Amino acid sequence: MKKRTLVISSILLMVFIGMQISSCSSQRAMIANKTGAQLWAENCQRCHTTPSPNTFNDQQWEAVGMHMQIRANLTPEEIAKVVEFLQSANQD
Amino acid sequence: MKIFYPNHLIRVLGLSLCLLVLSLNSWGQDQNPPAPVQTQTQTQRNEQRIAQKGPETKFLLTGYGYTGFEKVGSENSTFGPAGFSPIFLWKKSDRLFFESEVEFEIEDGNLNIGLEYATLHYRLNKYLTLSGGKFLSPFGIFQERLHPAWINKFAEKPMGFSEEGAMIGPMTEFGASLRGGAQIGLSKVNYVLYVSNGPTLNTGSSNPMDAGRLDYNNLGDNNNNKAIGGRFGFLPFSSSWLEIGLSGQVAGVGNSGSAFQNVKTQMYAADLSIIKKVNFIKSNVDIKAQYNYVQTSKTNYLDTAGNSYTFNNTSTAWFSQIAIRPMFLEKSFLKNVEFTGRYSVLKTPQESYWAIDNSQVAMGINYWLKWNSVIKVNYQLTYSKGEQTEPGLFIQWGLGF
Ligand code: HEC
Repeated sequence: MKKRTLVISSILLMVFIGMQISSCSSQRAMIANKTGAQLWAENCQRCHTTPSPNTFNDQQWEAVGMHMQIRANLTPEEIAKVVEFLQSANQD
Repeated sequence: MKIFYPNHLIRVLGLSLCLLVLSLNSWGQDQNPPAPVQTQTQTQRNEQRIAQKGPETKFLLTGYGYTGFEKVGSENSTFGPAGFSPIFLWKKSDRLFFESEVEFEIEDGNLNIGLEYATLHYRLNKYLTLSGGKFLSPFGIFQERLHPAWINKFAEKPMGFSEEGAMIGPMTEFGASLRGGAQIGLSKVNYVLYVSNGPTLNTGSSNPMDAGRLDYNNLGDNNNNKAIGGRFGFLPFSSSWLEIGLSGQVAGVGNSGSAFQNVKTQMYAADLSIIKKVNFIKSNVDIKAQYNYVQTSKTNYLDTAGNSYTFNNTSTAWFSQIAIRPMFLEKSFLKNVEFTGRYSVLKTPQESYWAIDNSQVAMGINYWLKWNSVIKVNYQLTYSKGEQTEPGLFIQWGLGF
């Protein structure tokens, strides 16, 4: 009886941990799969109105990107995606 | 032979035609730029662009300007303040960056020129950037993120966050910092840790009325005790719509070798940022708040009659503001209108000569001409303990470059 309870509860625990891990990895994938456009829409409005890609040319976006990465403490992955998006969507 | 002759003629004619087409083509090129190659895909064009990134140093001259008009209480109405703040950015490599802002401002009939910030940055790794120089203080969010005229939703800064009246908390630091950010699961954190010259205690030696105030112009230092401070920010949700921040700073503020050498200041701040699309009003709602608490250790000063006195030297300043912009409406005019409201409170030590106990309500309508150009119209009421309520009308036009 005691043994069965132990087995059942350890199975439940393993299922629970497994669920946590799988949800964690799906969460991680969700974050890693965010596009530059999505990160731009989410992050660049936090302090000021979001600039459109046409505001600057490719080189200028590089300087702005580093300025904002430092100011807003964005991760290098986030800013690389945002800058790539801005450079591909502008008319330069 | 009969067959060879026309064949020969065809060859000669063909060759001349080719030459004509070629020469016409090159003549055309001299007159007009080459027509774009239509067959390239967007991906190919992007690849090309990445391959020809231009010079290693990326430079941008940016910044902002503003001007305005105000009528406060019984004072004469006046144009101003007006300012021009060029910002210079140099990205030297993926690791090395320099930023500087020079400030020109006309306020209360004076032209002030200043070096707002000049900071060198070196990205040590994914999580840390080392910075040095003069920089906007990361104590809270207002000075580092919200103060430029094209970002600030109001014409005036909140009480306690500008030189007017009393400054509760630093505007800039002169020192060095380590900063960065990281993703932790769905949440994000960001952090700044800094050492700087820190504030200086005004002992009242030149004007007894200022005894106990802090001077935040920390271009030099009056002691070997540096200020140590930092901010920790937490964004719990993956879409970054909410951020909560906590800041702190401790500093020795008295002149070394003087009777005030053991006087210390400790300060704390809490800040909140919310930015969210609210569907049923087709608007973006932007909420920002910050609470500053500054405490300087109790010490003795001399009053205007030369007698010794002391007081609890604790000041607080806080604001909370909301801006609602119906940017998801179809109508292009209303889309660019923003409705704003702010409440701010400033309290300095009541037993000091610089006692203030004020609260203020500001309401406004902004019109956005561009993402970084805004015309603001504000009506403001300032309540001071034991005095008449002071109304104010402000118009300001801010433009980021
Ligand atoms: C943490 C707040 C914050 C976030 C988030 C932020 N910015 Fe900024 N941004 C600022 C501030 C503050 C300035 C003004 C700089 C100054 O006056 O020192 C600015 C200025 C700018 C400028 C003007 C040029 C310049 O570099 O000064 C551009 C363009 C810009 N930001 C783009 C962006 C983009 C794109 C993003 C999204 C990746 C972004 N910002 C995210 C705070 C922020």
